[in-house]
Formats: sequence, structure tokens, C-alpha cells
Amino acid sequence: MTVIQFKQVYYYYNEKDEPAAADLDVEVKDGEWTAVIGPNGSGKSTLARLCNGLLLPSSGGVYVHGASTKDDAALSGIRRRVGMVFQNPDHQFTAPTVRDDIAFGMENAGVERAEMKQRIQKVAEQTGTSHLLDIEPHRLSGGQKQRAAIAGVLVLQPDIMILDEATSMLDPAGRKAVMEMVRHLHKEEGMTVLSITHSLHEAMEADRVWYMEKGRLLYDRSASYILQHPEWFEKLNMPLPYSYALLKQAQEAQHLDPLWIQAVREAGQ
Amino acid sequence: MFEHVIVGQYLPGHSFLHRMDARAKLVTVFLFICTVFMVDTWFGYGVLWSTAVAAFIISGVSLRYMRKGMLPVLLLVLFTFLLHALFTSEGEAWISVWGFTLHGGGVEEGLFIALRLLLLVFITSLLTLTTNPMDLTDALEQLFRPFQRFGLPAHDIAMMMSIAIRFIPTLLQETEKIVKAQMSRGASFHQGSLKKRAQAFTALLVPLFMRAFKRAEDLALAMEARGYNSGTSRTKLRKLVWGWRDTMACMFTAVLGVFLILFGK
Repeated sequence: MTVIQFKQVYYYYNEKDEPAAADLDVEVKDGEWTAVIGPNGSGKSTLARLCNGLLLPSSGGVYVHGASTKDDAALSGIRRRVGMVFQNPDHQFTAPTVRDDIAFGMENAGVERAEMKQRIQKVAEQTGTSHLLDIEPHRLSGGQKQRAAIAGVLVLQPDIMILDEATSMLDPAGRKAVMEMVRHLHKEEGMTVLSITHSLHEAMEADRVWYMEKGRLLYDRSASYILQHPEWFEKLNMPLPYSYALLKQAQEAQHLDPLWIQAVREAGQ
Repeated sequence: MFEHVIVGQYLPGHSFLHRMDARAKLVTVFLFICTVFMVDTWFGYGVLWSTAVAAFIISGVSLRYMRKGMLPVLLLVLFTFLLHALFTSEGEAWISVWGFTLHGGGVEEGLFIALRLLLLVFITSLLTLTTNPMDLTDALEQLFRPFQRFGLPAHDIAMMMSIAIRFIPTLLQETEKIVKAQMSRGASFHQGSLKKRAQAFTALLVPLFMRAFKRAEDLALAMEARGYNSGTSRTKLRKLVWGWRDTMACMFTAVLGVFLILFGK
């Protein structure tokens, strides 16, 4: 089932400039993890913002579960179903404590107090933020901040999660924790994920990979297809993942221990 | 570098003051401040300071913490005192130095103003240190609500205050980062002539404001993405409960104010 549909979408920040999104005609299926990659200024974040009505198409239409983001009456419902996590967790907190920040979206949606408390407990356990609820956001580490920000989105019970370079400002430990959480949400709870990323390593975890350039979606391939055809990394102007690079080196090396080469080959496979 | 700043900081606790309703605390502080501005006798100030110190003891806030917060204000208080002491020529002339004559009336007025300023900072710090910022903004919103019919945007004011309080520590952290980055490239904020130091601070303000604007833009997007719309009614996670201690505190402050205004002259 299609959950997000782009129909001939064009978006201009300024009419005199080139479109930030052009000729987008693509769908996201229910329960699918799609990674969007591409250079800076390629329109990835514009695409993400079009999904939950933060930006409205200049022409064409974006439909979430069949409802147009241009429909004012449907917009609040769309925003509840499409959760969005931004790049810098520091710029997302509105309240002085994690608990109050998690409640922010529910307060906007008019959720009753008793239910709010229940949902906060549940989502805090789910995201491992139970011990952080009464702490001020500026006292948290990068990974903790992003997990708290994700909790603030999950508490609205969305069925689609958009991560707009959500791990790019985190250290390896924070990145790992956030990715584990996203993996769990996708695999165990069947959540549809659209992740904007510069990390090929993260993109390869997705079911599909979209490559964007100058606002256009140039390639739409499955991650497994790209993994089986490493020449695509060159085509996408991206460095090989570490394991591939190591394997390539091992294949090219003549003077190395054959056992070591064998071990690297097996690891690469 | 900014460890002395306690504005907007909250110290969780279970004291009488912590358990008071935020609306009652706001009303009490408002009445207290009105009294501070209307009283101008040593007796009056003695009573007001005694009340403030008693409230401080009840609050359980450590003296070290309060002193740390009051330190940055002392410079302003000293400056205000000197301004009044040196430029008010009332009462008996005491001493003349470098063309300035210190008058008894000027010193007394300077002391009054200094005590008043200190008392205001003391009591408002006590309010923020013992009140959760969310409760404070919710209380403000509820207290301002009757004025909505006259066009006062009560909810927007409360939301702005809440965000301002939330961002105080973040902006301080950011300022510290920019200061360090500029110091590493040779900028000096503590040495050189007044003009040079002022120039260094100007160079600090520009990136700080640029970042604050960018942050505000991102925050607005994040709030919108989570369904925020200032025009619609919202529910609240926190519930304010008015109890007996709140009525007592408000009545005590009102009676104290009336007593000091009528009989404290």
C-alpha cells in the first residue's frame, strides 16, 4: 500500500531560481525504509519537508495516505502521522525538561492529561529515555538529545518517520544508539522510514535508496542491488563502504598473508 | 565562564515554596514588589528583608547558590549606589574628593536604591529557583487570560517566555563556544582599552545573533512539524492546584503590604 505519493511535484523557494524539487513522481510503500542520498543542495531536505506539509508543492501534489498536504483540513492529521526528526537536536526542544518537551506535540493535538502521562512512560521506555525525563535538554549528550527528540515524535504515534540527517551531528556511540532504535522501529513495529543521509553505511540498511541531484530523483534502486553492484558507488559519486574498500585492497594486494586476505574476503561477503 | 548566571534556573525540591501553586507565587511576588516600591523607610525595608530571608530559609535553597547568583548583580548595585551618592546633594555635606561632595541624603538614597535592587533580584531569583519554568509560564498564561478579551495574546506570551527560559542555558553555552573560538584566534575580552574590549564584544554579538536567528527558524519548523498552531486550544501536561498554603501566602503578603504602606512611614 502506498503511504506517501509524489505526483509531478515541483518546488521553488524563489521563482527566479532553479527548482529545489523537480519532476518528483515517486511513492513510498507502507513499512518500507527508504534512504535518500545526494550532495548538499540536491533537494533531499526539501523532499522531506514536502512530506508533512512544512513545504507545499509549487505545482503537483504530495499525498499522505491519500490526503493532499495542500488540504488545510487534513494537515494536522498528516503531521500527526508523519513524524519528523531534524538534524540538530538542540534546535528541536521547546520545553525546559525532556518530559515537557515530549508532551509538547500531544498538547498541540489535544490529548488528555492521563493519556499523555501513559504515553510518555511508554515512549520513554521504548527510546531508553526514562532516566532523562526530568533533565534539562542542554545537559544531555548528543545521542541522548536525539533519542529524546525521537521520543517527542514517537509519542504522537506516527506511522511514518522522517529522519532529516538525524545522525549527522552525533558521535559514533550516539549514531549507533539512534540507528538501533530506528532499526527496531522499522523491523519490529513495521514503521515506514524515510531517512535523509550522507552516510552510505546508513543508506545500505534501507530497503530502497533514492539518489537526488539538483532537485531531481535520478536513481531509485534497492540497497541490495547497489551492494551487489559496487560500481554504483562510483556512479553515485560516493566512497565505497569501509568493508568494500578493504576487500578491494585485499584483492589487489599481492604480498599479504593469504589467510588474512581470505578473512577480509569473508568479512566483506 | 557563565557559572554565575542563575536566571531561569530551577532547583527541584519539596519545600513549602516548592509546593506552592505557581499562580500564587506570581501574585505574592507581584504584591511584594509593589510594596518594595511604595515603602521608603528603614523600618519598612527591615521588615521586607526579614520576610525575604525567612522565605529563603524556608525554600531550602543553599546560601552558596544564592550568593553565586547575586554576585553578577553586585556591580550594577554598586554603580547605582555611587551614582546616587555622588550626584544627590541633599542633607549635610560629609566629605569632598576630586570635586565630588558626598552628602548624607545622597548616601541614604543610594543605600535605599541599592537595597531595593538587591531585594528585587533576591525575591525574583527565589521565585525562579523554586518554580518549574513550565508551571511558571502556565501560571502566567492563566493569570493573563482575562486580558485576552482586550487583545492580549496570553498564550503567545507564555509560549515565548517558556522558549526564552529554555534557551537561556543553550545561548550561554553557545556564547562560551564563540568566545573560546575567538580567543583561540587572538581576540581578547578581558584585556586592552575599553574601546578594544567593546569591539571584541561586538564581534561576539554578530555570530551569536546569526546563530540565534538560524536556531529560531529551525525551532519554528520543528514546532510546526509537531502540530503547533498558536490559534488552537491546547491541553496541558501539568495541572496547577491552588491550595490553602497559596491563599495564606497571598493574604500574608497583601496584609504585610497594607501594614507597611499605612504604618511604615
